[in-house]
Amino acid sequence: MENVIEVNGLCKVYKKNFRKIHALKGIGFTVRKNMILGILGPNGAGKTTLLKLLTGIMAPERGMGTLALLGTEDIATVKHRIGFLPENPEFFRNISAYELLVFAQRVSGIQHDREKIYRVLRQVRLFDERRERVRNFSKGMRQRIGIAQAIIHEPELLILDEPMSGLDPPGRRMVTDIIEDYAKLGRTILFSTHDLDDIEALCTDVMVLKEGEILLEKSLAQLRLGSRFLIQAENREGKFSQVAKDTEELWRMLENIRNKGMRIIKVQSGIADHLELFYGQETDDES
Amino acid sequence: MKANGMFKQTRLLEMIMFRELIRDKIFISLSGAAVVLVAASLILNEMVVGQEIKATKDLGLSVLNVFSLFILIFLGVNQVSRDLTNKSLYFLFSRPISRAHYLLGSWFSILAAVAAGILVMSAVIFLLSFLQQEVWLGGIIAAGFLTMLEMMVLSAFALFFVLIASPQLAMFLTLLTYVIGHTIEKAAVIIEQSANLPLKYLITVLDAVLPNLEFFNKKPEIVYGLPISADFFLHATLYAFAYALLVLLVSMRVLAKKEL
Repeated sequence: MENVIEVNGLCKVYKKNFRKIHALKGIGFTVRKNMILGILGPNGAGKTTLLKLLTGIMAPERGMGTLALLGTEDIATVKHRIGFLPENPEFFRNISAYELLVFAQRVSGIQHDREKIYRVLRQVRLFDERRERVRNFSKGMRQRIGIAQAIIHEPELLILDEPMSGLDPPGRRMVTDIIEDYAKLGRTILFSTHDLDDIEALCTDVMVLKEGEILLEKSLAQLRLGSRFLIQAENREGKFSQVAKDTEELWRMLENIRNKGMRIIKVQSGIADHLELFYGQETDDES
Repeated sequence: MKANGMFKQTRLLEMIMFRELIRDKIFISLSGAAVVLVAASLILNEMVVGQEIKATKDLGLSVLNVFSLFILIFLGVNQVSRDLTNKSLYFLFSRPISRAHYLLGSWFSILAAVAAGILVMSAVIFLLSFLQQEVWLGGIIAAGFLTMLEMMVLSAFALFFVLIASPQLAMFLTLLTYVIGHTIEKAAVIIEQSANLPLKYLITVLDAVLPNLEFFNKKPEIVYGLPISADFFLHATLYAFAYALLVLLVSMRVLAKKEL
C-alpha cells in the first residue's frame, strides 16, 4: 500500500537557556494511505514537535533524518494537500468565521466556493455564527473553526493536534464523525491525543511517544490480538496490579488472589486498557 | 516558489491582515482622535489672526505624521507580536505560506493601515482648508506621500524589533528609532565640535546605521507652498525602498532562524 508519510532517523533539538533539549531522538515510522494513526504520549513526549515537523512549521535538524510527505521530501510543495489543526488554535481575531475560511481556501490554491464553506460551517455547527468575529468565539468554537479550516480544502492528509481539546460531548461526537467520514473518503489522518478511548474508537494504528522516542507502534488489530487483562486488587499493604496474558492465566491469577484472601477491585481488558497499562506505567515512571 | 505564487500569497496575507488591523479598536480610536485633533485647529485659528490656514496646515501635518507613527507602533507591532506569542502563525505556516510571505504580508498590511489612516486625516485637513477658502490638495498629497515613505522605513525596523525583542521593547525601540532618525543629522553636526570621543563614535555609528528620517520632513516647504523638486521625491523614494528592503531582508533571515 502507498506510503503517505516516511520518516527515518528524525531528530529535533531545541536550544533553551543555552541547553540542548532533544525533542525527537531519531525516530522512524511510516504511515500508509487511509490509515488513522493516533499518537499518544505524556506532555513533553514530542507529539506536537512531530506534528509541527510534518506540517513544515519547523524544520528537522540538518543532516539528521529524513522526512517525506505525499511522495516528496520538500514539504513546502505539498502543503496545499495537508490540513492541520494546531493545539489550542489561534487565528486572526477581527475577521469572521466565513472570511477565515475564504482565506483558507484561497491560500491553499483553490477557488472561493461559498457553498463548500457553508457546508463545512454546518458540519462544525458554526453556520449561524458565520458572520461573528473569531475574537468573540469560545474555546470550543475556536476548536471547531480550527477543524473547519483544516478540512476546507479537502486535504489528502489531515493532521490534528489534540482535536478533542476544549470540546463538549456533542463537539467530540462531531470531530469523531468528521474523522470517520474523512477516512471513508480514503484520506489519511494523524492525530495526537491523551484520550485512550479516542484511540480505540477511531484509530487503525497507534504510536506511543515518550521523551522523543517511539515506545510502541502497532495496528489496533495487532493490539487486539495481543490484548491482555489487567487485574486490580487490594491487600493489607495497599492496591496492586497484575497482568494476565490470556483467559487461562487470568482465571489462575484470580483464584490465586482469592485464595490469599485479597480483594479483587476490578478486571479490565480491551485495547484502551492495554494502552492504559502501557501508557500509565510509562507516565508513572516519570513522576 | 514561482514569483507570481509568491506575490499571490503575500497579497492574500496582506489583504486579510489589513482587514484585521483596520477593524481593531485601536485603529478606530486613533483615527478618531486624529480627526478630532485636526479639527481642533479651527479653535486654534481663532487665536492666530491673519494666519488661520497656516495653523490648520501646521497642526494637520504634525498630526498626520505622529498618528501614522502611532498606528504603526500600536497596531503593527502589536499585531505581529500577538501572532508570534499566540502561535497563530501555526495556522499560516502549515499552509503554503513561507515565513518570507508572512513578513512581507505583515509589512504591506501595516503600510496599508497607515495609508488608510493618512487618507482619513488628509480628507479632514483638505475639508478644513476648503472651509477656509483654500484648495490645498498638492501639499496634502506631498505630505501624505513623504509620511508613507518614512513609515515604510520605520515599519521595516518595527518588524525587525518585534522578532528580536518583547512587544513592549519593540514598541520602545521603534519609537527610539523615530526620535533618533529625526535628530541624528543635527546631532552629528553638533557633536562634530565635541571633544567627547565615545559620544562622537556613538553618534557616528547611529548616523551610519539608522535612517535619516528628517530627510522626509518637508513640512516648512509644504506649509509655505515652496517648490519641492521631482528629483527629491525620486531620491526619497529610492532611499526609503532601499532602506526598507535591506532591513526586511535581515528580518527574513532572523524569522527563518526563529524557533516557533
